[in-house]
Amino acid sequence: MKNAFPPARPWVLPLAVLLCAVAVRLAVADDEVALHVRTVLATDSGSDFDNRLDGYRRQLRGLFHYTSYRLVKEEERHCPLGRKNNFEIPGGRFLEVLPVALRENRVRLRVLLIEGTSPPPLDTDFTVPNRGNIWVGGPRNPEGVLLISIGAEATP
Amino acid sequence: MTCCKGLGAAVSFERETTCEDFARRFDGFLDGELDSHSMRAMAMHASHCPTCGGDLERAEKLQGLLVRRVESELDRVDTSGLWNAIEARLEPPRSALRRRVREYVGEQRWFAPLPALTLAGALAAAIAAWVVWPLSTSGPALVADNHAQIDRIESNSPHVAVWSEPTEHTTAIWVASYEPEGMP
Repeated sequence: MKNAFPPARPWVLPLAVLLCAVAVRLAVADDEVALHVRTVLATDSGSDFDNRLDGYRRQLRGLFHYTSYRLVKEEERHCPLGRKNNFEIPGGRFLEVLPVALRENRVRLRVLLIEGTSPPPLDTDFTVPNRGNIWVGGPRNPEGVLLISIGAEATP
Repeated sequence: MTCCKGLGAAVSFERETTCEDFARRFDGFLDGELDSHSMRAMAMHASHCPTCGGDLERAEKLQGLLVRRVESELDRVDTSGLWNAIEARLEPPRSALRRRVREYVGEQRWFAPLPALTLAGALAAAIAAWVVWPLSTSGPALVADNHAQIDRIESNSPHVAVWSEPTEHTTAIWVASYEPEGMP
């Protein structure tokens, strides 16, 4: 019996795979948000400044008046809008971050700071500029205070 | 061309070729462009009609003279270097793309030991990495105005403070219950 289909050219399959990859990539790019949560231990003992925080030096010096800053945890997640992400914060705490929407190049976030079974110390809605960040401070640590940077970057 | 009447010797059921017919189709006959039946009828007419036969003979002589003249002129033309001149201006023939790629790959000695399957796997891995790799790995905030707009804050803490630093307007939320001694 004669084959009803003409023989496929050898470049058709690789081309199809490449096009599918591009399509998947574009589809993912449209909805994805990168969330960055960095936890910094701030103390008044010593004057060390973690060089991994060089990009935040101006923010930290401008917002807080501790003498020492050290990055203790850094986490980055990529997720679609509307999906909650739980970030573990040292000291048995969790930070629940929900990227709600991207509008006018600002990312709307809902953030819940959870500590044990007690009512959440913080439950807030806010917007930050795309690629911007906000700081949440206050959680105590045996060595000092934790400062949490919450940043978001979305693909417009 | 004059007419010769009364030449009806050829026995045929078809209409006899007249001198008018002969004159009208003369050029085609001379150049051999008529069909075989017409060629034969024209030849028979020329052989029986002295006038038309004479016209044909003169025309053939003239044609022969012309041909010989042209041929003699052509013989004088030196065409020995013609092809060389044409060849020099021709671009070298290009082979098909696939063949050129194959030839290029064949010339690369480092390429030879790599099996095609390995190369295909490497290519697939590169595409997969490109697809699943994070779209961006941003570091610290790069925005000039990092001002945050807070729409809602709820807390079980007695005091919550919000303030911004003056350069990039970065915002901080402070939950006071964590800092019994007060804010920094």
